[in-house]
Parts: sequence; C-alpha cells; structure tokens
Amino acid sequence: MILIKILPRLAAFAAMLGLALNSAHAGEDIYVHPGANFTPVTIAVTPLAGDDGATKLSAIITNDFAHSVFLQPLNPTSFPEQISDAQARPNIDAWKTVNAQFVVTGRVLHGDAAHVTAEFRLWDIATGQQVAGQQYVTEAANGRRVAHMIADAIFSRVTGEKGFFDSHIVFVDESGPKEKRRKRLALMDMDGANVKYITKGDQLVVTPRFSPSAQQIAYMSFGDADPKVTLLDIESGQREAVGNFPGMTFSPRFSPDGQRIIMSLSDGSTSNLYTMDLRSHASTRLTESSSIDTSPSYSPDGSQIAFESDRGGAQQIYVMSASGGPAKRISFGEGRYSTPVWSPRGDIIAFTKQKSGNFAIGVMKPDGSGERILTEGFHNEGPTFSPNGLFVMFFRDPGGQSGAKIYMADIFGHGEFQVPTPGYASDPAWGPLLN
Amino acid sequence: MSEQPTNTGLIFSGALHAALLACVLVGFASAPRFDDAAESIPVETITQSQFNQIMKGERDAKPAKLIEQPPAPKTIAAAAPTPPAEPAKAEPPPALKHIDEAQPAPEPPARPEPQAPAPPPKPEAAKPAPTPPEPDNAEVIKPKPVAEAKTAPEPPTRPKTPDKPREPAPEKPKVDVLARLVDKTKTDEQPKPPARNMDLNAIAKIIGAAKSAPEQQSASATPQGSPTQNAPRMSPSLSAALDGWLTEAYLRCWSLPPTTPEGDVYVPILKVAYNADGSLQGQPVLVNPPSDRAWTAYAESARRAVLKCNPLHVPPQYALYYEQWRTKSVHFDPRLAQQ
Repeated sequence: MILIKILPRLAAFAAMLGLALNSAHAGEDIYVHPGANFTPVTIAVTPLAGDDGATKLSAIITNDFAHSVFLQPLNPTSFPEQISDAQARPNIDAWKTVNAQFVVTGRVLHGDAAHVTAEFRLWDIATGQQVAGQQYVTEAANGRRVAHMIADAIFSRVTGEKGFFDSHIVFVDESGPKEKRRKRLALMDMDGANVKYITKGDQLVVTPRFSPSAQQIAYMSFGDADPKVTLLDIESGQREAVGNFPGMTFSPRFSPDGQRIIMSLSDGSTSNLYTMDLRSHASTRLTESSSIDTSPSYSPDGSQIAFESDRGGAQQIYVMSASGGPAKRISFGEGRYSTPVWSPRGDIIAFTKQKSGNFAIGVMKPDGSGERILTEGFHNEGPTFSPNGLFVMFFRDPGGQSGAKIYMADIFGHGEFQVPTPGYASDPAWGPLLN
Repeated sequence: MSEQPTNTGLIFSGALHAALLACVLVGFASAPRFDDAAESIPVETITQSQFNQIMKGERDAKPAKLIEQPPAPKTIAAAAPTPPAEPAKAEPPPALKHIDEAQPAPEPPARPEPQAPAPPPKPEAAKPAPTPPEPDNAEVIKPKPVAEAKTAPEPPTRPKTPDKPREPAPEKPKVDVLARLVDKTKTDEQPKPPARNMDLNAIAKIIGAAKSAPEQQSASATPQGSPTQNAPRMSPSLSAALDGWLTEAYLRCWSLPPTTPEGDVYVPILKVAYNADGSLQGQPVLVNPPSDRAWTAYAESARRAVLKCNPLHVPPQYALYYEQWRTKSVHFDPRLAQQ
C-alpha cells in the first residue's frame, strides 16, 4: 500500500526535478561563435547628387568597397529608390527588401571653379539611423582623394578598423620585351589610378620602400657602378645614395620613426645587415655572419627586426633585437622562406615561401606559429602590408612571355583582386594612410 | 524458551509499525491534494531497512488505536496551507508572460540609447580635427563636420520609450506584479514599486511562492509560462535542435568585423523577444554594452545580425513550441566554438 501511495509521488517528484534540470539546461541563452563562412557587410552607395564629377566620386567609393573584402557594395540596378534629396532619410523599409545593411547618400557642390565640397551620410538600415556624416572641401583636382577619404570614413565606421583607401603604392613599372625590360619607379593610388612615373627608366630599379611620412622612397638602383640603395624625395625629385659603402647595398627599409634605413651590404659571397642614421649618416653593423642576411623589416614598435638568412643552410626567417645580437629562427615549415614584412599591427609577419617549385605568399605570427598561406602559384613574391594591416599586396608572374602584375588579398584569405597597372608591374610597396 | 520475549517484542514492534503505517495512510488520505505545481513540498523518504522493517510486521496484528493524532500529516499540513492551489498555479504563468512583455519595453530605452547615439557623434567630432592638418600634399581637404551630421546622434524614436515602463509601476501593486518582480530577480531588481499598499497576505504568498519553488522557477524560466499552462513542451533533444537552428540562423546573418580588439574578450548579449511568427517583438536589446569603445563595431555587428535575420522563418517542428522560444538571449562570442 505504502509503495503504491509513495512511489508514484516519488516518481512524480523525480520527473519534476528532471524537467527542471532539462529546462535549466536548455535555457534562454544561445551562443553564436564565428564560423567558417565569411559574410561581408552589404552597402549601397547611391549616386552622390551633383554633376558628372559627383557620379565619378560615387563610382570611386563603390570601387573601393568592391576591393575591401569586408564590405560588399550592392549593384545599383538593385536599388529600390533614387535618392533625389541627399539630406533626406532614405526609405529604410525599401532598402531592407534588397538586404542593404548600410546606405550612403551625399552630394557634391562646386562653390567656385577651384574648389569642391563633398559630403556624405551613412545610414544604418537596421536601426534607420544616420551613423556618420562628413563634409570635405578640397581643390577640384583632388576629387579622387575625397572619394577615398569618404570610403575610409565609412569603412572605419562600419568595421571599426582603420581605413586604407587614401594611400599610395610605389611599384616598379615594367615595359618592353622580356629580355630587355625597362623598369621605372611609379606611384599610384591604391586602386591603381593616378599613375605617375618618378624615374626615367634609364637605370634598373628594384625594391622601392616608402618612408613613414610617404615623402621619400628608398630603393635599389643599378647604375654604372655598384648597385646602391638610393633615397628619392618625391616632392623635389632629388636623389642621393644612402651611405658610402664599399660593396653593393640592397634591400632597404625605413625604421618606423623614419630616422634610419636598414639594408644589406654585400661583401663577397656574404651579406650583413646595417643601419644608417639619415641625419648623422652614421652606420651600424647589426649581423656578423658568413651567410646572406637580407630583407630586413622592423616591427612596428621598432624594437625587433625580422630578416631572411641562409645561415642555417637554406633561406629562413629570423627575428632579432633592433640593436642586433642573437637571432631566433621562426620559420620551420617545409620549403624556403624569404622577404619577411612585419604588419603595421605587429601581430603577423608576411613572407614569400618557395616550395616544390612554387612561390606562395603567407603570414605567420612573430613567433612562427599560425602559418597561413594566402596564395600559391608559379611565382608570387614581395608582400607589402596595407596601412591598417588587413591586406597584403604582392606581385605575381604567371610565367611564359607575359610579365608580373600586382595583386592584393586580405590577410584572412577571403578575397583577392588584381590592382590595375598600365603595364607589367612588380615590387609594390604600400605607403601610409595619407589623411 | 528464550525466544518468547523476542516474539513479544516483535509483535509489539509490528503493532507499532502498523499503527504508524495506518497513521501515515490516514494522514495522506485526509491531507489536501497536492497541487501540481507545488512539487517542492518536503517529501519524507524511508530507507530500505525501514521499509523492510515495516514489511516484517505481522499481517494479522491488531490495528492500533492511535489513529486520532497522526504525527506525519503535520509536515504536510504545514506545507499545504502555504502554497494553496490558486496562487501557486496561477502566478507563474502570468509572471512569465509579463517578463516577456515587460522586458522589451523597459530595455530598449535604457540600453540602446547610450550605444547608438554615442558612436556617431564622436567619430564626427573627432574626424574633423585630424583631417584638416593635411600633412603632405597640402591638398586642401578641410573636413568640416556637416551641420546635418549632427542629426545623426538624435535618435528619433528612442526618447518616447523611456517613459513607458515607469508608468505602470506606481499604479497598482497587484499581487501578480509583485510575484513577477520576485520571479524576475534574475534580470531586474526593482522590488521598490509595490511596497506601498499591499497587504501582508499577499507578501506572504509571494515570499512563499518564491521560497518554496526554486526549481519551479528554473523550470518556468523556459517557456511554459503560457496563460493556460497547457503549452506543449519540447523534448531536450528538440530544444537543443532549436538552439542549434537559431545559432545557425544568426551565424548566417552575422558579418563580423575583420578583427577583434586585443585584451579582455567581450561577448555582447542581445535579449530578443519574438512573435509567434518568428518576427521580432521589438528592437533587440544589448544587455551589456561594451565599456571599451574598441568593441563598438563588434557589438553593432551582433545587433545587425539579429535585425538582418528578422523575421526568423521558424521551422514547423519548433513553431509549435512558441512559448519556449518567445525570448532568447543571444551571445555573440568572438572566440571560435570549442570542438
């Protein structure tokens, strides 16, 4: 009897307890973690109100976003409305139907013949709020820069990252037959526009590097005598050899503070790393090995240097103090590693990796862990970081009779784009953000 | 010979046990019925040995007389009056309903405000300063904060909402309201409003309900708070599948910023209330706005994910259990899921 009476109650209690536990387990909380799929933020850049110039600015901004990987501009044919009043709120519901997460509106005004005023507004379609807005006044000739600055402001607001569109690239423009290429240093906007040649092509030039202020370029030039590291002032066009060394100097790079240039100096079959103070012209030897030490690159805080060396038998990447001393090898993967470049964020080092006859571009952490290959093929080489450290640019030569072209890819491997250049192009170096 | 006293003792013991048994039976029989929801009533357990003892009693022993004052019922009687059928049953459902109803209202005004308006003004304010210097090319780019840009910070709709939640509170300190407040202690701590004109019985009820049903609360924290309490319940596996489905849905709608700031990890939690058709009842509420502005873009990305996924097209197998997913707290964790 007791059993009959008590057991059902005990069972009921147990069931209740079980339910309670289950419910507590299920709860209201759900946890979303980043997945393998990458989804860019959709953005609609409506045509800025104004004349033809305004339309061009819109196109530049859209094109910037199309190469930003993290923002995806919507095709104008899908726009649900034409924005006639740049100051009015877009039809939020209509933009939701085309899955726009942000909408850019704006206008361009010509106050006088010499100046242009451009303004934009960024609308968050999810909340219906204007989340950014800015006005720029500039000389009419600088319209492209304004477009890049607007793109940077929007990119930064949406992603929380620094922009990178308003920046320049210096590269080696290649023309003529393969056996007798004419190589000139050229400058361009990061989107490939506004190409300007800064050397004549009478000397072979390689490995140009921007100074942190973007006012000077250091590069290696093959003149009549030994190849030398040369310093070029962009504004004045003035050139000078860096130091007066007995042998060949090559592979230059500026220190983060712009006060020194670090480079390799060859001595017979070996080469070592030296720095030269740009004001005092005093040079300091950093490595003393019987190997080839080259491609030095400072960490963004200037405290360390990554470089390549074959001191262990094959080219590998090493890291040492900026003042020299013992170096620690960080590359241990299969193949040979070269051209290390420290990200401006300091978190990764990009490199060229040669393996099985192919050349790859990859990144790894400064301790050598987390190696990630971004692209691999017949010949990829010479990575350079965007000012915000989210992209690398490099050159790729498909082989055969054609020549090299410049490409950019994000450091996560989500996207890759060719950067348009007038002809063949190699050795890109990404300059700092201008604005 | 020597067995004689033992037998007597046995018989006596048996009789006593039988009497006790009878008392218990009568007590149980006469005690008020358990309320379904009052499962937390103390239950007396007997050990296996006690049970065996009882079973050893002789079946033909005479019934004892001590039936009038059963000791056992006391505990039951003490428990019974506290959670009478009505309050125990009636309170949890409306309380839940109100949590669901009340949360969307008070939270939107409180939380999003500091978040959304804050970012816009500062970038604007900050930007103009750095840009004018034009370091290199002297290319006259003079960003001036647009006059209109200032419209950004003004949230058009927000100001209304803050008042809403306040009004109902002072009005009536109804018992349900109090019960809800007590139940809600997890999320809200506003025991103040009802303090005035409530009667002591109501307080006793509430305290009793809160005390006696901790497990009840955890159970009712999930959906069963329908007014009828007849809402179907999901099996644990189905519930897990639903959570998995929601997670997948939000992951598809989520565009993460390229990187996350260094230092302490921040996990935005968005409180979301759904309608039965899967649409949002209101704006998702960021429960824990980031203290570090570097995480603002990340928090916004989480919010956009929820809004982009609206309305959720809830598969029919889950739609039936609306009460169990009418509110969710979605954690957008920047760390990779552990395998």
